Amino acid sequence: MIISENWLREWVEFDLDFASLPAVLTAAGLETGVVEELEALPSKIIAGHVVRVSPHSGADGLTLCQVDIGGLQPCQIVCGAPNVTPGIVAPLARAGARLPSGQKIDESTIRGELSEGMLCSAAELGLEEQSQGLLLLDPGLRPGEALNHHLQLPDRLLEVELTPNRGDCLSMLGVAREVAALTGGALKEPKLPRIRTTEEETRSIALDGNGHCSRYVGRTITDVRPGERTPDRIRERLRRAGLRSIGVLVDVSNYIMLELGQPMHAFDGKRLKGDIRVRAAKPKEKIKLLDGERLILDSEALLITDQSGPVALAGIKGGASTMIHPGSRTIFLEAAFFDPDGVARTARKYGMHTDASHRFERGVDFLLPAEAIDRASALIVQICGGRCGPRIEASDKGHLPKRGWVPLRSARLSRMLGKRISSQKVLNIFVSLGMKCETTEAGWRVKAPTHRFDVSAEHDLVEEVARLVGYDQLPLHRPKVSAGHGLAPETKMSLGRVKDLLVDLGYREAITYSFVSPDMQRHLPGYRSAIRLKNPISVHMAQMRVSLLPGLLEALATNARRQLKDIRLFETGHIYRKKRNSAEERQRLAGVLTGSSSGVSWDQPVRPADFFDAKGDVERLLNFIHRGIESEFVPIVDKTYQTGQCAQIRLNGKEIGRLGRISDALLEEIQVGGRVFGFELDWGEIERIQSPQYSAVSRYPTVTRDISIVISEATVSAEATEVIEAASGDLLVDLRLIDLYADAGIERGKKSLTYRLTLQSNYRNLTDEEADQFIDTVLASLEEHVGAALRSG
Amino acid sequence: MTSNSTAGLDDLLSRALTDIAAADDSAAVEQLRVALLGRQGAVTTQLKQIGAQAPEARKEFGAAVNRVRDQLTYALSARADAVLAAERQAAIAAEQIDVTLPGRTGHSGSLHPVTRTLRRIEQIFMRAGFDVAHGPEIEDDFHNFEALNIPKNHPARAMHDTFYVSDDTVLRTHTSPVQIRYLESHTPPVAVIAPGRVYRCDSDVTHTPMFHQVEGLTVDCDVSFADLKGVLVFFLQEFFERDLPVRFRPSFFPFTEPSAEVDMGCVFCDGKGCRICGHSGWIEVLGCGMVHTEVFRQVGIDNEEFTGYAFGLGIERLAMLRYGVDDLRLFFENEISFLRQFA
Repeated sequence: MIISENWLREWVEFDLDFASLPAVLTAAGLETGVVEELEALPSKIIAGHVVRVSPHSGADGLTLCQVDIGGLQPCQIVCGAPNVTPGIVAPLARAGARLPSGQKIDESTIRGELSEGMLCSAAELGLEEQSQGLLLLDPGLRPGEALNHHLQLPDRLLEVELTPNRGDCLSMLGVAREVAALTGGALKEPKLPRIRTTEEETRSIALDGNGHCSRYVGRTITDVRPGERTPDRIRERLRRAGLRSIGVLVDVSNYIMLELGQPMHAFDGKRLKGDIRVRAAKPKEKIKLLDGERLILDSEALLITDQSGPVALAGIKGGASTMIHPGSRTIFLEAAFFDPDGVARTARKYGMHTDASHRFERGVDFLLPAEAIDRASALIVQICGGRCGPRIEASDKGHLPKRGWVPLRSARLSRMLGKRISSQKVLNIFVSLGMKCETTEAGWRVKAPTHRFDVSAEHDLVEEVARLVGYDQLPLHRPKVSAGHGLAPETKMSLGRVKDLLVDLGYREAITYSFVSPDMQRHLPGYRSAIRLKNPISVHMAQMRVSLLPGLLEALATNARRQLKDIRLFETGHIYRKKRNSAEERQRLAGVLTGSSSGVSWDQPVRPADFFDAKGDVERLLNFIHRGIESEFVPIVDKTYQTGQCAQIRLNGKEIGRLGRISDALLEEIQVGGRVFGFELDWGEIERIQSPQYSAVSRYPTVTRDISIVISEATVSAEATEVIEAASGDLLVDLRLIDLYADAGIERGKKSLTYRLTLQSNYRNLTDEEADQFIDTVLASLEEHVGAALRSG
Repeated sequence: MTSNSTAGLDDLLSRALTDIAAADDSAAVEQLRVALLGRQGAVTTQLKQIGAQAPEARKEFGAAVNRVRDQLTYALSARADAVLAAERQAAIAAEQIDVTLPGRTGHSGSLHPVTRTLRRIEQIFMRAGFDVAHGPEIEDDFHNFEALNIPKNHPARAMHDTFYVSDDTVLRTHTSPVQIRYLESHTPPVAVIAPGRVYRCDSDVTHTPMFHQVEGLTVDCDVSFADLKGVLVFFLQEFFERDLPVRFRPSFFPFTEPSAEVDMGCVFCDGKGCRICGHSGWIEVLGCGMVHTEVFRQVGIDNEEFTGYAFGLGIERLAMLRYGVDDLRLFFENEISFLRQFA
C-alpha cells in the first residue's frame, strides 16, 4: 500500500515530523519505508494550452505548437510528442526552468525553428519512471497557471507492507486511523455527501448466498457521461498509489477503494437485467469475466446474478456481459460485504488475486458499503453528471460479523509481557484505537470496531497493548541457567562426528535439493517407490529423491564441467519413498569420488581412484563407528552400479548400504566420463553403537605366520577369510591379506593369496610347534572348504 | 741382536704409521688394528718376543715394544675417529634433501557452510538448555497448517508457496510443524530447537525452492515475552560474537500472538546504513512470538497453566550474514570453489 503524504494529511492531522513516521509505523507493526520524494516544480513550469499545431518543415515527427500561457502572444514550442493536438493542456517548461531530472530548459532553435521551452511528459516532471507522450492536464486550467498545487506537489510516498491481519489498513482511512492512534493526532473523517435522489429504483436485491454475502448495497445512476476525463486530482492520486487511469467510472471506484478500503464495482445499468440475486454458483456454471477469462465454477463459488445469469464473481471480478463501455449512460454501483473465507477460497481455487479479493479476504468494514456508495455517487455526478436513484440495500444481519465484549485480565497481560502496564495506559491504548474499553474486576473488557477483524480474543488484546506500548519498551530477561536435556546417548553415534571423519578423508560436504530429475531416478532400483510432486518447480525437480546419489552426481558433474578432476563429495539427508499410503523418510549418508586416488605428487605415480579407494573409506568409517565389528561386503547386482563392481554392505548380517562403480547409464545422464565410485549407507541402521567395554590385554608375545594359498579365480577372498577365521578360534588376533597374485607361475584360472596371521594367547607363550600346528589346521580347512593348495616356492 | 731388534721395531713403527695415515675408511683402520695389535698382529708378536730376549736386553726391548704398541694404539684410535667423522660427514652429505619440496599429504575436505552454521546455532541453544528435535519433511496439512492456526483459506497460506505431494500432504514450508509434533509427544516444561530442510515453491535470485530453518519452542508455567527477548538477544550476540543492537517490532504469524520480527544492527556497516541493509542500518533476522492459544488448544495444552514462545530463523540467512555470502543460490550449487572456503 503506497501512501501519499498529501492525501494522508487530508485524513489526519498530526504533529510528528513526517520523516519519523516510517519508524513509528514500523515499530507498531506496519512495516513502512520511504519510496519516493516528489519535488516541487519550479515556477517556470506552467499550464500551457496548445492552440495550434503545424508540422515542422525541417523534420519529420516534430511539430510546431503555438501554446497559450496567458500572455498576449502564444509562445512557439517545437514538440516531438505523438499526442500533441490543438486543444490540449499540458505542462510547459519555459526557458530557464530546471526539470526534476536536473535538465535545464533553454530557448533554442531546433532545425531552424525557435522553441521557447518544452512541453513535458509525466516522467519529465518526476511523476513517473517512464511515460509516453505529454502529460495531459485538466482543460479547465488557466493558461500560465503554476502547477504545484494542481499536481499536489511536493509530495512524499511511503510504502506500508501489511501483514494479513491488518486488512483494515489497506486504505487511506485505515492508515490515517493508525497514525492518529500512534501520534495522538486527530482523524478528519470527511462529511458524508448529501445525495439528491430523483429516480425510483425498480431493482430489488436478494441475498441467497448461504451467508457468504451479508450486505449488498447498490445504486443506479442514469444519464452519466462516461467519456468525461478523470480530473487530475484523482488521476495523480491513483498514479501515486500505483494504479493507471482506465476510465472515469472505474477510476472513481478505485479511488473510493483506496480512500475507504471498500472495493466497488460499476455495472452497465442497461445490460444488467432485472433484479440482483447473490447466490452460490450451480455446479459447472460458466462465467466470462471482464478481462475475457472464462471460468467453470463449482457450487462453492459466490455469484452476483441478474435475470440472465452470472454478472460478477462476488468480491473478485466483474463479468464481461455487464461491463461499463464508452456508451454506458446508466450505471449500477455495487458495494457489499463478502465473507473473507468464501472470497479467499474462490480466489485461490481459480488462481485469481485482485485488489478487491485482497481486501475482502482480509475483512472489510461491514458498515462501509453505504458510505462508499454515496461518496462514489457524489463524485460521479460531480464529474460525469447524471441522476442518482435511491440507495438500495439488503442485509442478512444474522451473518454479519459480531463485535462482542472481549475480556482482558490484567494478570494475564502482565504474565504474557513480563511487565505490569497501568490501567490508565491500557484504557488510553484501546480508546486511541477506536475500541470501547471498560474496566472490570479482573482487568478490562474491550469491544473492537467494525473495521478490525483481528481482535476477537484476549491474546489479540495483549498484542494490541504490546504493540502500542512498543516492543522495545517491554523488559528483557536473560536466559536462566537450566539443566537442559539434549545430551545424546553414548549408544548413538554422532552424525556430526562421522561428517568430520569424511572431511578428514578428503570429502567435501554438499547439500543438494531433495527433489531430483525422474530421468536420473529411472536408473535406480527404487524408482517405482519415488514420490512425485504435484506442482514441481521444473521437470528436473519433479521427484523426491530415493537415493542421495543423483544429487551428488549432479554436483559432481557441475564441478567436472569446471575442469575439476579429483572430486570427493558426500551428503547426509533424507530419502523419501512411498510406503503403502504414506511416505517414508530415512536418513542416509552417501559419497561419490572420481579422479586420482590421491593428489598429484612429485615422487609417486598418480593412480586413478578405484573401487577399493571407495571401499577403504567405507571401511574406515564403519570401523570407526563400530569398533571390533567386521562389516561384510557381498557381491550384488544393483543397476545404480556397474555389474560386477557392486557390493552390498552388511553389518551383523543386515544390509546397511551399497557401494560400487556408478553405472554408465547414470554417468551418461549427467554427461560425465571416466570412472565414478559411490557409496550410500542407511544411517538408521548404523547409528546404534555399543559403548566400549574394556577387555584385559594379553601380556604374552604374538607370533606371526604368513601363508600363501592358491584358489580358484572365482572364489571371492571373503570366502577364504571366513574359512580361516572359522578354523582359528581365539588364538587369531589379527588377519590381513598382504598379497594377491594371479600371473606367471600360477595356473590359469587360479589366484594366489597371501595372508598374515597374528596369533596370541591370553594365558601363555605360544611355542613354534603350536603355531605350526595351528597353521596346518587352517591350511587343512582351507583345502577342504575352498580347495586351496599351499603355494609352493 | 739387541740393536737389531730395536732397529726392527723402529722400522715396524714407521711402516705402521705410514699405513695408518693411508687408511681411508673404517674397515681399513680395523684391518690394520688386527694386523698390528691383534692376536697374531706384528706388535703382539714382538711382545711375545720380550721373554726371549737376553736378560740385560729384556728391559730395554720390552720398553721399546710397549712404546711402539702405545704409539700405534693411539694412532689407530685417532685415525679411526677421524675416518669415522669423515664417513659420517659423507653420509650426511649424501642424505641431504631439498626440504622445500612439498610433503606427501592427503587433502582435507570441508563441511558445508549450512552445517557449520547449524552447529554453532545448536551449541548456543544447547548451552541455554534446549533439546534438539527433528521431524518429517513430507508433512500433512494438519501439522504444517491447521494445527498452527493456518486454516484452509487463510491469506497466510498464500505467503507459503507450498509444494504439494497430494491434496493434504505437502513438503513442509517451515520447521514449525515440529513444534506440534514435539508437543504431541512431550509434556511441558519443554525447550527445544528443530533444525531442518524446508521447501517453498519459489525460485529466483533471492529464493531457492529448498532452504534450512531452525525452529525454537519453550513452554513452561510463566514464560513471557521478556524471556523471548532475552533468549534471542543472547543468541544473536553469541552467534555474531558482538554486542549488536537488537530490535523487536510487531508482526504477524498465525501461530504466535503477540508476534515479532527481529532486526539486528547491520553487521556490514555497524548500523550506519549500506547497500546490504537497504540503508536502514537494520537487518531482519528472524520471526518469533508467544505461542498462540489456538496452537496449545490443538495439542491439548492448558492455556491457563502454560505459556510459551516460539521462534524461527533461516540458517542460510545467518550464514550469509556471518560469512559474507551474497548469493543464496551458491549454497546449493555445490561448486568446490565455494565449498572449499568453509573447511
